[in-house]
Amino acid sequence: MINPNTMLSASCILLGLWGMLNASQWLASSAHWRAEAALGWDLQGLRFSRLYRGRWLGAAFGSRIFPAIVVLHFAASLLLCILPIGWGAFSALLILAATNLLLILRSYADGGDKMAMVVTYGLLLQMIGEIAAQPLLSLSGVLWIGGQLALCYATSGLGKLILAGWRNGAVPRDVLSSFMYGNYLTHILVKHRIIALTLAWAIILLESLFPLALFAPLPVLVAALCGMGLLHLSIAFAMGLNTYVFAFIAAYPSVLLLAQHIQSVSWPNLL
Amino acid sequence: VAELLVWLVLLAVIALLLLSVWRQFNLLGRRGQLLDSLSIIPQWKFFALSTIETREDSFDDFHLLTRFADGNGEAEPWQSLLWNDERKWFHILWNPYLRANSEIQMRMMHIVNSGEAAHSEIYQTSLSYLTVLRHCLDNVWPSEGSAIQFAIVTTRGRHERPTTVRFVSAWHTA
Repeated sequence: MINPNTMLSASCILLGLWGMLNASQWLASSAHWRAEAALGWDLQGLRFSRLYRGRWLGAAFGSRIFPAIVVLHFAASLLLCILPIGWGAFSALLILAATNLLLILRSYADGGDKMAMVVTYGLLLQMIGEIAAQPLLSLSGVLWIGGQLALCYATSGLGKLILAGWRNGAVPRDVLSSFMYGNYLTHILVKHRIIALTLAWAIILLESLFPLALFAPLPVLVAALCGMGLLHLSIAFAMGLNTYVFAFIAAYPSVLLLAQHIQSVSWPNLL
Repeated sequence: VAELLVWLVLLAVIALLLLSVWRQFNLLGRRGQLLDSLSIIPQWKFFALSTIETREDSFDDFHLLTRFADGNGEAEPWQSLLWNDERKWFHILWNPYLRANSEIQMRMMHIVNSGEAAHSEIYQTSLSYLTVLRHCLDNVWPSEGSAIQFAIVTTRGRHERPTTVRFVSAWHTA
């Protein structure tokens, strides 16, 4: 029996680690986002309509307040790692959600940012459910995170399956041979057609079949999650997408809880 | 009332999940993209966009070059400003410039994808063009009276790295 409280705490810590890494990287590259730089708001704000460019958002993304938003993002993430489940952690989650939304509006949302937001929304529901003793609210949060993660993997896998370039191993070979998305080691590996082909099909099958693991015995689900976690680590190594690791792994405790819910339902009685 | 609210939240979550499933097969407009960015109705397709098969240059490396010309119109050699090279091992833990560089590269791709239109005078006021030009001016400082020009080139694979010039900007005086 998986303890929901333990899973909720584990998710909060993993999301907090994601937030601290994300904020640190924003701070380290702050010179790129300052006014009059290429990515300064005075220029990049033009991609938004006047509504978004208005006084408040313009002020938030100005040179003085924007670093404070990033520091707040870091502080909320740190608090999320150390505070027990309760109103304090809930407030930290709210601040994390608000600051992350602002960071996304300031730049763009990569896959890691999007999954981190999904986890944040779901954890907010789970935390209110725990505090207010409303199990259905906790279930909503678990369903949201687990459902989105399963959908994310399945869509990515099936999307690859319909592309001939993935089925014959050409896409992983080209991707991992580039400097933008690969590195020297991956280039050496995918030079061999059989390795590129095996890698392509391993990714396609692992991603496409992931939702079925929700209905499988726990060891199978844990093995599937370990496989996907390893894939995210490999992607961080090959492509430098290092924030994806914590963002996606933060969703895994909810997936375990969702599987437990699914398997505890007596399906014959329902039918 | 609390019970009803809880049920409404559960129904809303189920509805959003169903909309997300639908979203994977349908591209939405600008508002839809905002819902995607804010992860309310996200779209997930990692390296599985159909454009991979229609565009031969999907996985080319994009690089940015720049050069100056003095007051006499004499052009200096090209120098690289953003050149994709071997990834560092520590990027698995610490990769702070990924987002900023990706954003600049997205703008470069946008310029290349704009084709002939990118050579028009009006295009020089577009966000992509101005961003790339500003990035050049952030990193190199032309002296007074000199002019600056940038070029976007691509390379494919790792062996020999043949370079293809994809776009050459107009000259801009400092």
